[in-house]
Amino acid sequence: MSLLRARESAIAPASAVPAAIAEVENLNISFPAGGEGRHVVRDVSFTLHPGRVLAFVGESGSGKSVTARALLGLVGDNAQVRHERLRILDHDYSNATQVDWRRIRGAGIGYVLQDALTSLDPLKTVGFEVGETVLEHRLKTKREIRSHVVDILGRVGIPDGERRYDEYPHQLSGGLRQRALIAAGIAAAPRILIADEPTTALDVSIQVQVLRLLKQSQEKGLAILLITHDLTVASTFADEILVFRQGEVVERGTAGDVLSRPRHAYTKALLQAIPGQQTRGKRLSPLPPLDLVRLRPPSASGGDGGDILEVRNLTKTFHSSTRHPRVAVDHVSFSLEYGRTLGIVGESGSGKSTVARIILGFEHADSGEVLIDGKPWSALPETKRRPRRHLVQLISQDPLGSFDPRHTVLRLLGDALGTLPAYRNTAKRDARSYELLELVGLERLHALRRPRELSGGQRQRVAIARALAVEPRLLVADEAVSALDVSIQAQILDVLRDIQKQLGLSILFISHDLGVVQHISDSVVVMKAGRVVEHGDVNAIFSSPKEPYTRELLNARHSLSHFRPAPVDAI
Amino acid sequence: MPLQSILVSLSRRVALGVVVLWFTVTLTFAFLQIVPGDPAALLFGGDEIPTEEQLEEVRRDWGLERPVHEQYLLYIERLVHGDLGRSYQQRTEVATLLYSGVWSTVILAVAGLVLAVVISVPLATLTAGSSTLLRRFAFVFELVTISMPSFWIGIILILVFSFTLNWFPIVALDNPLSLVLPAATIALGLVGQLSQVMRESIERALKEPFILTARSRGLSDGSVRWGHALKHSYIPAATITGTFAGNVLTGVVVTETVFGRPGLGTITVAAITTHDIPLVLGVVIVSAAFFVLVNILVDLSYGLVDKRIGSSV
Repeated sequence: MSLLRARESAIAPASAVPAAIAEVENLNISFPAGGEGRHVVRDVSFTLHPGRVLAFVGESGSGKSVTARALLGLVGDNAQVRHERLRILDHDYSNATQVDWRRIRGAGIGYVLQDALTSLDPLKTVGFEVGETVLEHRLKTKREIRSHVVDILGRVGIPDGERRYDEYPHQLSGGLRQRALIAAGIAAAPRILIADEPTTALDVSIQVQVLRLLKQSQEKGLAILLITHDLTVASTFADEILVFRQGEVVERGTAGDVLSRPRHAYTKALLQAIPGQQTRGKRLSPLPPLDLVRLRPPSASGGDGGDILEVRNLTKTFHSSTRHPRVAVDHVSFSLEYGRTLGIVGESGSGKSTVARIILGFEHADSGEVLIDGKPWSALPETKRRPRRHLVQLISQDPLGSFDPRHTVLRLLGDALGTLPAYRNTAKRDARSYELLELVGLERLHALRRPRELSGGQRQRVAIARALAVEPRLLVADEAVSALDVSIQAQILDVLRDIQKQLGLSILFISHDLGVVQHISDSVVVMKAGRVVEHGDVNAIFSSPKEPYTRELLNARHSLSHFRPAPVDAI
Repeated sequence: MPLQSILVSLSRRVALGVVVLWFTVTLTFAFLQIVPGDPAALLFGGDEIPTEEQLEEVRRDWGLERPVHEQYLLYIERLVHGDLGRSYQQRTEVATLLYSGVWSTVILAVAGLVLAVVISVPLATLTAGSSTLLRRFAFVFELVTISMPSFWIGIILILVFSFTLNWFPIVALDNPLSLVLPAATIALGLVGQLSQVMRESIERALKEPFILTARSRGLSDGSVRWGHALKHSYIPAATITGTFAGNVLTGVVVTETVFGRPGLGTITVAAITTHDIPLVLGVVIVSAAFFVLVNILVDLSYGLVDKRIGSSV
């Protein structure tokens, strides 16, 4: 510990850094009520300085969020918080009462959570939410509040604040909503801002806007504590990084150091797990490849050069009684060869998931056609399609939602196998289920667990096992790794690649994450507003995009990873 | 919600309500046709055998000598004009009889509903997500009120607060205090379920990220509960209260009987015991109309509280 502290002072010489406005020393947090007394944060120390950004990096459950909440006294009623020092804005909070905490919340420390859709009260107007902090701390009167809030909304780049004041969060776009949440965080002019995953779940272009906004606040002297699972965001935006693992800080240093000269094995593994151009064809996780040869169907002929999937001129319009009809898919055509991976990228609302639903036969296209294995598919009635349904399998973002929570893994796999004539027999079915589990890297003991008793990565493996059970030829992975931590994402991406290489499956990989798509795909379709903007080889598209929109997307991602040198201009 | 879409959804609901009412009316008419025996004697009711002149009067009123479809049209036409027919037992218009009882019942029902809301809202808001003594008390209280039949609650209230403590009169109908115990009886029939449902919604809301955001602004626990979480229980609470209120006109039968209060309840009981079929049918139709009306209002209120619910519902 003392070593780390010594290092900290070495990397941040007192002359260059303004005096600390928050000091936390040897913070320990445990939840004794949780049975065996879970110790979620161990001996964490850090300081915050005006105009500087400190980033907490780590995977879910690493203790980074709960550490930040200790600064607000919002750890939870049943938590035990111990520390040697907790000084915030020149006050000692070691023995703070609720009244002390309430005084500093909002006014001294602003707090911005991820996903403004759930972090703003859906039943309150934007103006109410932004003004609430100000009114609570009696910084303005009720009569002044409207003009103050409109002013703040303007400052975070929300045009037409007068109108937005009376709107509800659901009426705002994702980007505006996140700005409104930040506006609420800074409305009472706090000196510290905690931003907990402020850009997660946002499209890449909006991420850049939100980070620029935070950067502007930082330049005005705000001390920012950024919590993120995204090393790229942290390394380019933060001055100092703390890497969390299981409640402990395993590495700390300047952003440049941590990224280019990681010392701890965990940091190295995290960095290696980030998918992108440099990881193409390589394994992301340290785990050994799966051995899937036994699973190979004897009939896996797959004519060379043929297409497993052909999408011809699909169009789909959604009609609503209250809104204008929305063209979700607009004359989309592409094809996917046997044994290859096609990535579909696009921001939310680009129609990529609707295309997937049509391919899976869950949705009817207004016009156009989908061919599977060269034969009609979307044009067939469901009864005719059913005997071949096993050919196309879905791996979704949220496997939990696609499992019956009361069934064991064994039953989930057994049910899928039961649709095949060869597995009518229970003993055969069980044997095959165990085999499948082993093949996707799970153990026999997982067979009797229920979905909720598995981790996110294990669940996704079960989902993959279930998809493989029925001997498909095409996997549709719709944001299949988007909800996973980077190290788990790496494992699942490796599993998908193993499957593809050894079983010769084709994968349609849909994602908003350009890095993931670049890592795994052979070719790419870029979608925007229901149309295919660009379509071609993955290297060609990523290295020399032809269409302005593709360039825009790539630039946004590029500026994310090169945030610091980029000039910060007004939004 | 823009005015236009409010009007569209209102007219859609009213149209649906009219269909429901038409169904109810048709069913009551079908009942008259299906019951064996002379429909005139059935409509006349009572225990004594009516004279031929009396039956003739019924036949004239209901057009019973005409074909069925003409009877049906006559029935509908009368109802559209607000004519609920005559009670031959009491020799009065059904509408007049109902009108004489309806106000007493409406006052009782409104008082009961208001009391239920006044008890449930703080009970649920203050005890949600806490493990205080109050919460344990609330749990027992709700369980007891849910499991006890309303006549028993009424009898206990009379015994304790009227006979023993002598706080509230129950017979002096002109004294507004006499309303307290019957209203409490009605309220206790709703309080348990209402506060349980509200507490569940509030507890769910308290776990949402926006509550954490609100706390991070320096709001007190009370402000978070009353200012943010409570509103999220509105929809389930309104659904339950609406269903209860829709049934309250006939639901007061037991309470009115126990407390000996005149009203729709006592009228209904009398109508049933004297086989006064026109009066029974009148009660059925008026209750159905009331139920439809309450539900339209409840549905509309959803959109006013939660703007995400547009005219699509």
